[in-house]
Amino acid sequence: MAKRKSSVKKGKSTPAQRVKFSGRGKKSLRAKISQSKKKVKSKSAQKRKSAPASVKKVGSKFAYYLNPDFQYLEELRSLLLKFSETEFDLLSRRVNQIGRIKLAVVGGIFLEHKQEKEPILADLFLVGDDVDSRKLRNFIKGIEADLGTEIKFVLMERDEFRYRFKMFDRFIRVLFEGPHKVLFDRIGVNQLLV
Amino acid sequence: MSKIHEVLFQSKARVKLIKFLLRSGQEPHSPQTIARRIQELPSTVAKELKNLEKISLVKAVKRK
Repeated sequence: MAKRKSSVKKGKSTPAQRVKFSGRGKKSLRAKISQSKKKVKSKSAQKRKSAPASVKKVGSKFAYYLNPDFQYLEELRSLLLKFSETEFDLLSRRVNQIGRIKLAVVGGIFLEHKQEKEPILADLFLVGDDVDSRKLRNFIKGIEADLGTEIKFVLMERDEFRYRFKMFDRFIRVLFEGPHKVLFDRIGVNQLLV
Repeated sequence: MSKIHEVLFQSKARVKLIKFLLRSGQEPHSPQTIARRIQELPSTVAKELKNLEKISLVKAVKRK
């Protein structure tokens, strides 16, 4: 990785240097060129030759996968992939930082729901306004990195949610009827559901 | 995510890496891909993978 970066930089540095020198003064550039024209040429030729070799070397030669016969596999799974209450607290705190979120519901991967009956509609369902898209993107990226997998998430504005809720929208219905956990609810959906 | 895991496993990257491996199943991934997905340094990931290979938690295959 580092090798490729350095080789790219070196390759680009010659034209960049030229521009730099012409800005400072043509004399110095001319002097430099006349002094070491051959040297520069040979150097750049060397770089061109070495460039493809360094590209080939980039990255590991191996790809890795989980050994299915590892003796503590199930133990690791139950230790690492289980969500505790403290983790849900942490998650709701992070959700609150991305904007005025009124309702947060988790399902799917957070509840270790295995795809048996119905496919997972959403792992994370958020209702709220004024959501900063950059914060949201970083938040999702962070969560995906922590979980080690991609998640399905849905973000809805409050008005849209109200409308869909009133018309018994299929998505909302399936989400609330299936396995889910409400992280926090500032709309009062639970009262409406009863 | 959890502090308990971090302390138990002594490294956040290692926890994330094992979680990723548990969730990705039998599909082989390059250290670079894993590093990008779990937002850790490729060098850290490569080092941890080698450690995990020693205890045969992961298997390595040659990339094409």
